[in-house]
Amino acid sequence: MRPIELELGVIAQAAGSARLHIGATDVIVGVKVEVASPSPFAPTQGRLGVTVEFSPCASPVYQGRFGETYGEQIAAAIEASLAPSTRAGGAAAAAAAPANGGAAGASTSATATAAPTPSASGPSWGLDLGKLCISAGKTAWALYVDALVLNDDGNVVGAVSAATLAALVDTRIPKVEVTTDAAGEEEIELDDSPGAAWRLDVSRVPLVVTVAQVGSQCVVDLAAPEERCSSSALHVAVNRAGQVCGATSSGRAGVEASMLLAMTETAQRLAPGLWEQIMRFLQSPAR
Amino acid sequence: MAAAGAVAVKVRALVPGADVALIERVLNVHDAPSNTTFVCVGDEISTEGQEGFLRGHGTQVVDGKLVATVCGVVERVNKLIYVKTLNSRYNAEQGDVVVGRVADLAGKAWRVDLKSRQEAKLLLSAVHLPGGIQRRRNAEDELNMRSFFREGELISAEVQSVHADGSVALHTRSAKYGKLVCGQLLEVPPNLIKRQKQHFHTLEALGVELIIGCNGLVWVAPLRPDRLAAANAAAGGGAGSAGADEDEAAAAAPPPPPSRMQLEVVCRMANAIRVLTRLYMPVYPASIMATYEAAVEGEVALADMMEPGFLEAVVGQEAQRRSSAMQE
Repeated sequence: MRPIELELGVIAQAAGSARLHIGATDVIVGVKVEVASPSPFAPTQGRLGVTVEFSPCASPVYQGRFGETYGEQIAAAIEASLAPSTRAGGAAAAAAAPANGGAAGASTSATATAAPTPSASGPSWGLDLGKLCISAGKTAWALYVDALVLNDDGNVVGAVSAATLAALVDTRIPKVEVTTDAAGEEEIELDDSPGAAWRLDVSRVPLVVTVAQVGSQCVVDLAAPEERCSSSALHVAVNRAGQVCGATSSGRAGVEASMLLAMTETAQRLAPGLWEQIMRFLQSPAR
Repeated sequence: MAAAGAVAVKVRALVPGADVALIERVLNVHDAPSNTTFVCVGDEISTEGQEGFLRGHGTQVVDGKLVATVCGVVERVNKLIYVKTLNSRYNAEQGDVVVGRVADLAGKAWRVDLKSRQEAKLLLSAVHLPGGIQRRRNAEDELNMRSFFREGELISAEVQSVHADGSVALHTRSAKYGKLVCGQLLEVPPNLIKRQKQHFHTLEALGVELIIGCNGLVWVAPLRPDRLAAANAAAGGGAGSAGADEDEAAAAAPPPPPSRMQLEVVCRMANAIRVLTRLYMPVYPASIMATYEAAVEGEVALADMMEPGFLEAVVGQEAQRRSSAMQE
């Protein structure tokens, strides 16, 4: 893989932000937190929203509608990897199904078998949205992850995923205290001092690795001209332990079942190392 | 691109403007020299000591002062003052060797994308048919145009003429021009490429074929035996009938795939050109070879050639070359 270049805290106004270069691919991710009301379907969880936007300067193909729809697809894949409880299974299957009928079935079944079983304490991968709850059913933190692709030199999905991880590590959420006054009304007190802020637990956030098929080989981290040679690509979300947390496919041609397995295995081999490298960099004192 | 399975990923801090800082440090220049040769948009161009001047490209008179409208180098020719930009599109000139991609078939001509202002035209009457056979000018011939060059294929050609409206006509009337297959295409700013006597280079010792197109497209490919024969035939004064037979035989049997070692040499050569492009240094055979040899001598891995360590070594080499040139 090409070296990854990371910079944190590039947007002063955001709760957390990161800029990432892979080759000439340039991605900037900002995380915004705000107090909102939780969704009625999950009253004890925070909200999460992911958007991916493409700068029309990145590549001529992103002008007009294509950039929007492609951005939505990537956002769905990233959101699914961050919050499995909300739309994971559905999004992965929905995104894979129209692309290649038969193979998609295999991809979703692989997801189902390899995915760690959800435990009662919380989601088995991704962010623990339960921690974002302030007051059950009334207030919770809403987490908005906004990614902007400034330049496309291949491996955009991987870059957005890695930048999102870095931005989440950088994110500080202010501490709040809920006090109940005499009338029984809950009141929220926000402590704005930086020392009182807490960070998200990212240890279970998976990375999305794009494995592309070129000829009969599977390769990772393609540059833009190389991507045009690939017949199909599989975006696999893999967590730190090498477990598959979701898969999305893209590309013109379908993927054979045996190839699919090889691609998934490649992603599983690569992702834990990548995760460790990024975390080691983020935690190094030199940064 | 990396082979699947290798799990060595480098993660490091993003330093904006690292390349410029590197060049400044190694060449030992701090802050661009504030001379009048380089100007930015809005900079005033001094016209002192001149009795009147002619306003050229990239300049404008604002409040009686000459001001640059583009970034670049100030050029003065007698009274004419103009600014030459550091980065511009390719300006075709007659006789230029170019590499282009076939964009479209239009009637009796191919439209070729040269990364210029407009697409160039390659007339059917301006191509050299394989085997050197005479073309019969009929409708069937025009229908068979796709059998020579299809859309999306890369070709090398020469600029035959540049018309007054800026349109460019190409020709491939030589054995050395034609379709390019099995190699790497690199994009270089055309300003970095100087026009030279030779733009085709066959490095037989390394087994590499190099075409430095004047339009900023550079082709690096493993040397194939049939291409070598064609190059020799062209050098020896036109392909004879025997050469034509060989051409046909070569076309019938696909050449053997290049060995891994040969491919590595090609990749290294391509990376050497990428390094030069990144450092905005002129791309010509000597500079490419110097960079290539520096990489071989330093035993720099293929993937590490774009790393800051090697970039620094290349800039250091350039600094040394300049200081020795100054002494002479």
